[in-house]
Amino acid sequence: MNYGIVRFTLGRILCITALLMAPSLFVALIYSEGWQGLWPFLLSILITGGFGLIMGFKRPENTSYFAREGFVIVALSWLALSVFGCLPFLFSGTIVNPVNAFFETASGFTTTGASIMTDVESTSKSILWWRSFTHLIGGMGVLVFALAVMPNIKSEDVYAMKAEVPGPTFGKIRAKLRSSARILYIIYLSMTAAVVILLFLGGMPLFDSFLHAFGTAGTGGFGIKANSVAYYNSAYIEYVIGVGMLLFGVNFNLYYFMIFKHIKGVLKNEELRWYLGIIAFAIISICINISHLYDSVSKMVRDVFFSVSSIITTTGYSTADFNRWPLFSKVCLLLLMFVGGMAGSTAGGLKVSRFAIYIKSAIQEIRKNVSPNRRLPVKFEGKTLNSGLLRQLSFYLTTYTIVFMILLLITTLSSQTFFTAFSAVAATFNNIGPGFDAVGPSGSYEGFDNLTTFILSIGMIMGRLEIFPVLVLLNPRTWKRG
Amino acid sequence: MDIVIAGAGKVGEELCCDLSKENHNIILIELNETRLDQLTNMYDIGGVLGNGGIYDVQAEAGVNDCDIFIAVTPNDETNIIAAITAKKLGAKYTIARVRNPDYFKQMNFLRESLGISMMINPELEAAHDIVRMLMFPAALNVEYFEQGRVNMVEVVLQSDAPMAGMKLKDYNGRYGNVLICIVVRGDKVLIPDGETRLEAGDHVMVTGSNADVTTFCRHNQHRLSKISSVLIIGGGKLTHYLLSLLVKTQIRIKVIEADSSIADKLAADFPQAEIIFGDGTKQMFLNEERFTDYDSVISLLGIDEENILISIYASRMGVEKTITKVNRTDLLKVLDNVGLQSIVTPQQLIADQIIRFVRSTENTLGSNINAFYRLANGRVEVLQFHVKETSRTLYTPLTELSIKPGLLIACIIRENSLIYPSGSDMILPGDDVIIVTTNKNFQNIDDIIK
Repeated sequence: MNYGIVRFTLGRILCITALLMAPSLFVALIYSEGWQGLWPFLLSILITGGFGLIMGFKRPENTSYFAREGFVIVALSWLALSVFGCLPFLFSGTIVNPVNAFFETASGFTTTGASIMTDVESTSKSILWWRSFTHLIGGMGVLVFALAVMPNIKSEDVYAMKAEVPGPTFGKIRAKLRSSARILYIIYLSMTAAVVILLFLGGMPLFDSFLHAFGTAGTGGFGIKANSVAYYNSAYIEYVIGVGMLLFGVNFNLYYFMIFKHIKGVLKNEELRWYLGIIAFAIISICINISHLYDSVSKMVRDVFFSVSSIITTTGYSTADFNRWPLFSKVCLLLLMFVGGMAGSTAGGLKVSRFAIYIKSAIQEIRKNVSPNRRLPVKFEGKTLNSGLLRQLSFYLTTYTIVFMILLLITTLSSQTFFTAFSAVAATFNNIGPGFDAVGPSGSYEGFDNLTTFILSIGMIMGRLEIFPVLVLLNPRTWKRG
Repeated sequence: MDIVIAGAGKVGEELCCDLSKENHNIILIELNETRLDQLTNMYDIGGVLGNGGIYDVQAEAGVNDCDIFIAVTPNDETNIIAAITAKKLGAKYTIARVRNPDYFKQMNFLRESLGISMMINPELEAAHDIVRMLMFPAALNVEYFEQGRVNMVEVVLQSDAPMAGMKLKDYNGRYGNVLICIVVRGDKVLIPDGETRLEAGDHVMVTGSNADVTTFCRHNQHRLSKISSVLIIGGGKLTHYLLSLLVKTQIRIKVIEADSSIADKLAADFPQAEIIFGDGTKQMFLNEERFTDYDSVISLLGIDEENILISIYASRMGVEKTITKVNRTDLLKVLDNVGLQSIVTPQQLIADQIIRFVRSTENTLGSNINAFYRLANGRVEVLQFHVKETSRTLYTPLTELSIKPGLLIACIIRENSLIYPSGSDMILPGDDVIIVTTNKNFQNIDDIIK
């Protein structure tokens, strides 16, 4: 373990975090919240920046690092982000319990959008801004951001970027790490800006447009009204956000290819076809299932489209209370939580590419049982997957299941119903936000005890970083020499 | 610059490593997925899986708008086809590694008719390198410019050398009429002027005619002044190229080769050399061939370990100059103190050569620089300018030109003669001038004037 480089990188990340808190100060100034609004952020910036400067002051002599340090840096940065990011909530008194504040911040950065706050509408604007801004930062990843803005990028930083960008495989879109990171961020931010403008044109107040765009871009989903997007009661706004969420659930590399190469290749992308196929299937089957509840078809399609889009992209905005839907529709949504968005997007979950490969391998396995000596390659995106990658993918599912069971077991300690506990774990571990029953769209995560809240926070970070970076931290071998 | 490299062998890796550090955008094409993953993880480069000679693969790698395409796959034919394809696709410069002597003979044809900018042969480069080492046996390093016509030799000043402690203005060619271009003292790099005092332990880089440089080396270090006989162990391609260069000199040559038919062919091709059939790795056999009577032993077998052992043995037995071919350089650092004097690594040499080409291309685009090199770990630049009739430097003796500090005119190439200038020499139109400088960003010969 190269402790020096881990300390140094963490320091740099904290400095960036402190800088990212600065816009909240402007919000406090603009809405003239006075000293009350300013000082929580000033103090947080001082503390975070101070830690950052102390840790990042001395450049380590040995700056070489490998996959192990990459994992550790990413996992620790995300923990540190959540710890330091919750300071404004605590200082402003919005959230009193530190564990709850940690949960809220982790939920923001991991773009989960699960909230323990019950009275959002009376919270000050600067705090709301920071709460949603964490979605924007966490969506594309803070290390990717660091790579895009920091000088002195070294080839080793590919390990950090790899650990932070979700998906089973990682492809750089440009030869240089830095220009790849920059292009990703440029695409990300311009799409976010487009959502802001579209929402504003649809009659949403500017402040709300920004926050909803952040939630949409990061596929986070913190609502700023008690009944989330339903508050605006506008088909236009719902479709802008619904389509926006779907677009942010698409692999960003595809946008690059669309802009700089050719659109044809993008349409042939197998993962994209699976993604759209799953969405279409879910919308149709849920519509059939709930058709008796609605009088108007357009209202039904609108609600179902929005809910499916919100759940599969792991955003968690809501317009309809799907808690009241029949069990089949609820389970459909629950299963979509596990699929998640496309690899290389801002969404969580298992990712569509993994899901598709699991199904394809299962089919090949069945065929293999029929004719045991037959060679049956598993193909994805037109390429045969090698056994190493397949093994890695199936062990990911195994690990995912084991971690899920552990989280579930702990959550049941303070849950009323099985559906509450199961959907709470599914909704946090897959970074969605709202679950069913007590944690449904109209509920909150407030009812859990401190242990469960903390474990679910760690579960969110695990889900965002695809489990292994966090597990690496727990392995004692990581911290030893050699 | 955008550079596409086909082939992730040892040379490919070396190129990825060095060029990505110099901030070029590199895309690597490689057939083997594991190898490609390994390199894309290690260096900041992009990768494309596939055969570098295929049009589609090249198009995916973006060869159509790249600046330089480098083909260094293990296969000559692939390299040539890849370079031609890249040229037709739109690569500005193409480089191909070609080892087969038969193809190499038609280099000029391939270059001119098919548009391959540079063809490079690792064995031939290594042979040239060995010859330079033999010419200046005391040198740590020999740099060469203008297709090898101008040499710059790096030596360490010995404490008993007569020029140690001398100011340069007092030197006046007393120990060989050479020009001292660069002095490296500890961490400092100096471009010396008349007031600079030479100190023992300095690494100095000198240039001059071969005879003068040899004289300088002889005064500096009494041993090792001239090599007059060499024993070469191993008769591969490299030996073939080396012999064709060495037979033109006065050096006595003996070659030991363990394969009877190769030995016969060498004997037929090079009647001037003594070709011995036998196993050069056997101690008894080496003794029988009286290897200690030779000034230099060069081990060029296919196996690194054997070469290293032979050289260590020869060095212990008192051979003055041993040259060892080592292909795998990563573990060489541990061998510093076992007495290997000079090491030749063909892959490294061509990687260096290609990197020189890239730097030269990069720095000469849009300027009047004809060639560009970096020495002393990149802290010194060597630039070659062609002087036009409009230059302000013409017809003035160099002492009267007010030249910027940290700069030195190392050589003037006038038609076919080389001038290592003194204060009274002048620059004339049509000359090529090589300058050595620690300042960066010279674009034009006139930039050297204050």
